[in-house]
Amino acid sequence: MSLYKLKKYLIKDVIKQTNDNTMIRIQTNLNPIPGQFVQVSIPGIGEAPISSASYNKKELDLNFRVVGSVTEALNKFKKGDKVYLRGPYGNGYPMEKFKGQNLILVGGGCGVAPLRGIIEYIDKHREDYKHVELFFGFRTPSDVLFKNEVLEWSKRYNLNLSVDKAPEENLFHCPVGFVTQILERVNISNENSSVLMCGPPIMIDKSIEIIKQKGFTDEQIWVSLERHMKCCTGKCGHCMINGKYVCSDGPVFRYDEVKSIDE
Amino acid sequence: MGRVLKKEDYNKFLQHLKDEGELIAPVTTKMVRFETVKNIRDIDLNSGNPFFPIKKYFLPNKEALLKIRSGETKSVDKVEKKKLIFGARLCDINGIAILDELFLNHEYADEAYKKRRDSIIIIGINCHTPPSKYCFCESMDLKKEGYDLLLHKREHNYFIDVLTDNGAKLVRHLPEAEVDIPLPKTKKHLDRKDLKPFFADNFWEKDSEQCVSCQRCTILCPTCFCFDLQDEINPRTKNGDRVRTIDSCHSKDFTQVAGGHVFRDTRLKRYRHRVLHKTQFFQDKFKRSMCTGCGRCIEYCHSKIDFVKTINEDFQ
Amino acid sequence: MSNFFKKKEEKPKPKVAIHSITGCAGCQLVIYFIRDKLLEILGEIDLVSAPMIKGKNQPGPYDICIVEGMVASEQDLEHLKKWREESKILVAWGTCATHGNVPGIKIFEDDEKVENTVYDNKSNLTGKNKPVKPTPIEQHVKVDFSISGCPPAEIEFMRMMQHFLMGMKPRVYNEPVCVECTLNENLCLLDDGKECLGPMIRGGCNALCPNINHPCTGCHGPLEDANIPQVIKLLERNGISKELIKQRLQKYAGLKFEELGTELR
Repeated sequence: MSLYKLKKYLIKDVIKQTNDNTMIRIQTNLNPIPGQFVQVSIPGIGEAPISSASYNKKELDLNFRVVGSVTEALNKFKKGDKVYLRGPYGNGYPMEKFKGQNLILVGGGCGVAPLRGIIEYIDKHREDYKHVELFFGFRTPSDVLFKNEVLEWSKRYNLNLSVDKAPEENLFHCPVGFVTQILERVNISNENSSVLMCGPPIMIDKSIEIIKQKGFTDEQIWVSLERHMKCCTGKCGHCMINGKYVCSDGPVFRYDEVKSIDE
Repeated sequence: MGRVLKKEDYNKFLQHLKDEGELIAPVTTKMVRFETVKNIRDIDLNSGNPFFPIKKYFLPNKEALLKIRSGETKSVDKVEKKKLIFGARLCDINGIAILDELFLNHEYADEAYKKRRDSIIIIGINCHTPPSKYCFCESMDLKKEGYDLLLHKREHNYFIDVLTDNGAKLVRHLPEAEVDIPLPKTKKHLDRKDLKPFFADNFWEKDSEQCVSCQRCTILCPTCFCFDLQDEINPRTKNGDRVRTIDSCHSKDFTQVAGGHVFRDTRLKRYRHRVLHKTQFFQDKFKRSMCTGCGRCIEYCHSKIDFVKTINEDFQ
Repeated sequence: MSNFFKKKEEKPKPKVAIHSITGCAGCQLVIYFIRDKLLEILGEIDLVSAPMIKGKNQPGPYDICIVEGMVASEQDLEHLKKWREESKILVAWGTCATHGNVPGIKIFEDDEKVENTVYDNKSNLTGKNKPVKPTPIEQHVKVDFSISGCPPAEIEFMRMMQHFLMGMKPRVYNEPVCVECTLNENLCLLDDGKECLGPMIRGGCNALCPNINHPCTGCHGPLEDANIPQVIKLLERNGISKELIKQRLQKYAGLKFEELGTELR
């Protein structure tokens, strides 16, 4: 069977998240681990890597922002349509390694989607992890992803939700400001803890700076990187940074592995 | 145990190869290229290393990976014809062994590549003197692997190293002989060193300023494998192919993500990435250099940028 | 079959116009000369206006308006602004539209001198015919998509239409001529001492000229990313005079080369 061969899956639901974010629920038993991604393929248009936003044996949630040709086309898919996938690819967050630890999740914008997968994973293995602290930032209240679940998360975990600005009514009554500012204010201990991050590069850089001021070491920080990908199997070369393939060596890296690598 | 071919039987041997299937060998018109041989008299081993490496027969510049039929995909069931490549040198052949690491021995093997790999027999020739002043393969730890047969010319005959069954079948009529082929010697050498301490921009400025991003170095490299995937379809029938095309890290679009951001945004970063991938990154991962020392990237560079010289002399 | 593709077929066909302002009309001809494959495209679009090949032409609105030629007169400008208002997507087709091309050479000369050389009788050059500074269309209106070439290759039109009809943003070939030239295993004319502009010029032509041993004259205009000073150095290395290099760069895309920092005056 060819490496690029695709399999078709049923879209069970399409859940519009925000103006430019949509989540599709796919019936599949691929069950990627949090942080892994699948290659969504639309014949005639192309392929796009999308991170898993769930942890579930029967369904796979993919949240995407409409940003290119593939996501634009995918945004037109309806419940009952079928979509081609290949994967899952990538290493994912090493959840086993974090057993017995406190977890701090920091996410911004559509970078929160892969972290939702981690939350679902922790839900299913709650006894393996200690305290869970969430820091999620979005542009405005209407840009908040997974609006219906946010309240549920805040019941189970310590959720710090923030929006950069609130031009309209702030439904969530959350602080207005960058997620990094919230992170700065909150008291978190570095003892027996790991920080798992996903989001725009500027947020990641700033968050790492803050986290390190709080005494965390590079080995306690895990980041998910974004790159141009084509084959997703460690060949085509597009996603390589300094010898590391983001698609297969990553996309999740321990910060000390990538902090000194320049393009 | 190898075989030995008498000089007077050389043409007979070539004709024998041609009778076995499509024979590809260096042929000179305006310059020397690997081409399908129409007449064995056209084969030219004395005009240097062919312009384009034998990579083109293993990883074509463009190939269909999937068929697209009205929004559905189908596999491409291409039958590969038997080919014999004669006259490839160890740099090109080692290049194929390096491609094998990624496309054959890898966790995700590539079906189309494997099919082609299995259909091609490589009959290499060993270099007595380097075919070009840019050759530096002696520094690159070439291995005697990747070929089916390797010919080494002596005064009165050719000694043949036999590596595979396919190769053995081609020479079973020849007398056996003890064969130990020496690796080629070159005048030019690369001072192999850890390049991590030399990552800073100032080490790369002089060379990258002369780079015109024409991509010839990557296209003509026997091991550059980077590729792009694109869908080419007829808008009326919605039929077409998902094609793999050759791509280059020297192109600015290479690291562009949806939304427009380019990660390697300067020529310096792109130039450094290529040289380091060849000399360092691949080595770290696969424990062998990706560069085979053929020297094409220097010889065919418009500006004759010589990374070997720079590494030897300036990286101190 | 995915419903995504079914829905496409039910949609009304996009209204397409092919219009022309000052130029030689060669870029339009390329489209019509595609013949067989063009018929396949024509089945998928509604070519409502194409004055060169059609008697009855409709005014806008258009979904896609393909414009060839450059702005040389008040009338050109008037037409262009009208098409822009009437169109969802405006395509600059060919080097006149994208870079000013040969008519654009005028900017390097004295207006008076050029006009006296070209026209026997300048009395017509008033009103709508009044010349304006010869400029590519993007200097006057927003252009959604540009394909350069004098003329552009058929394949670029086909690829653009494929992408439009699939609802995608077209991907323009953005590599230097050297890429296709090397893949065609041509002898390098620049290394051979000729005045080939290949390394700084956008390809997409499949190295049409170098394939027949003619140096690239740069009809597609420069790549944004080109290392122009270095290519000029290489040309000088080949003994090409500064004056000739300057003329070569002025020929198709003088304005663009100036914009990218090359001294041409």
